[in-house]
Amino acid sequence: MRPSRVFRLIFRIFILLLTLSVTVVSILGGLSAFIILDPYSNNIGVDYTDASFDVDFNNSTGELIAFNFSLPFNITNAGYFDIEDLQVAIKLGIRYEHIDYTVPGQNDTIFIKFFENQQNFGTVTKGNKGLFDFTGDISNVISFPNATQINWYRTPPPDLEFFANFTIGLTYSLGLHSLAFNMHNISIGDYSYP
Amino acid sequence: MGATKNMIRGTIYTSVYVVTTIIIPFLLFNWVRNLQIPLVGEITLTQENYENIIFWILAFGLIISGCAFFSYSSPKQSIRRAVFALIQVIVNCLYLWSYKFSGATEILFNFTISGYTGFLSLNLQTMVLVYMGVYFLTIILKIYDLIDFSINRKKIRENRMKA
Repeated sequence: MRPSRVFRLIFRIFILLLTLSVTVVSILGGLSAFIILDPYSNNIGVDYTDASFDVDFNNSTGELIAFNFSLPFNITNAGYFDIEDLQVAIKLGIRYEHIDYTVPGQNDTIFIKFFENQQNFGTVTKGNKGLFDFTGDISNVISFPNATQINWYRTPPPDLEFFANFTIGLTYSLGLHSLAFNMHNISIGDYSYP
Repeated sequence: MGATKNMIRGTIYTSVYVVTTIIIPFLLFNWVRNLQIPLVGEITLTQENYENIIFWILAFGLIISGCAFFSYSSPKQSIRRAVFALIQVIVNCLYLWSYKFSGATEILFNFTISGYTGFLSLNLQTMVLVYMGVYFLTIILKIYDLIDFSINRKKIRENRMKA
């Protein structure tokens, strides 16, 4: 065999190994996505009933002075690679009855987006379960209605209904795949004036 | 006899490329377009450019398959073979690139499961770019082949005659 062909053969084997590696990583990554996202497996565990709120208004002005939100969740990495750059973004909306919204003396039920936050939870190594707690406070509140604008005697209750848009983003297969999982308009709780 | 053998080899490789570059991607996109998982819910591929993706897959797939025929039916170590192999790899790059520019690397599935609605998006752009890197190395190899076959043309012909 000519020396040029020997050199070519070595280079060809290198390319073949490279192609095979990328292909194997891609196939295992795709397979892992199916395993992790299997609806029967509960690998992504978000229990919206565990969401907790702390809402506090100024008694004299009715302005929001404190807001805390937390939502525990867990992700089990049942795949073949580490889950990297795990990001969770939550948008919260509120439905309530607004006093004198369009016409004086008339209350209208309206829906507004009031909270938006995104947090990075890093890496979940393969075979492990990551337990996380998504939190937010008043600094993440975009706008919240003044307490004097809310009808606290709404019938039927509750006075405030909270809804969430939930997005989990992650990279997988050594960064080759990016996944995002979103659920929207999930009812996560309510609040009535005691 | 050698010519017949080359033609058969060309036809076999064309069939392989038709299956891998046209039929499998076409069936895959059709399968995921309206995927329904029993007892779970409906999962729908939301890809407005679906027709566009299929068009480019078909267009580049046909060119790749045509090049594969001319490449593999040519005599071994011939300049003709090197030229068609180089064209085929370049078209392969365009084929991969078509996945990116037609939107096929950003797949969005809408779902309704147990009363919840949402979406699942899958981004494969990085993977396509890595494959493009591998194809770039293959282009270097094919250019090397073309130069090698041109420089050593006489020696290759003598060896062919002896065989």
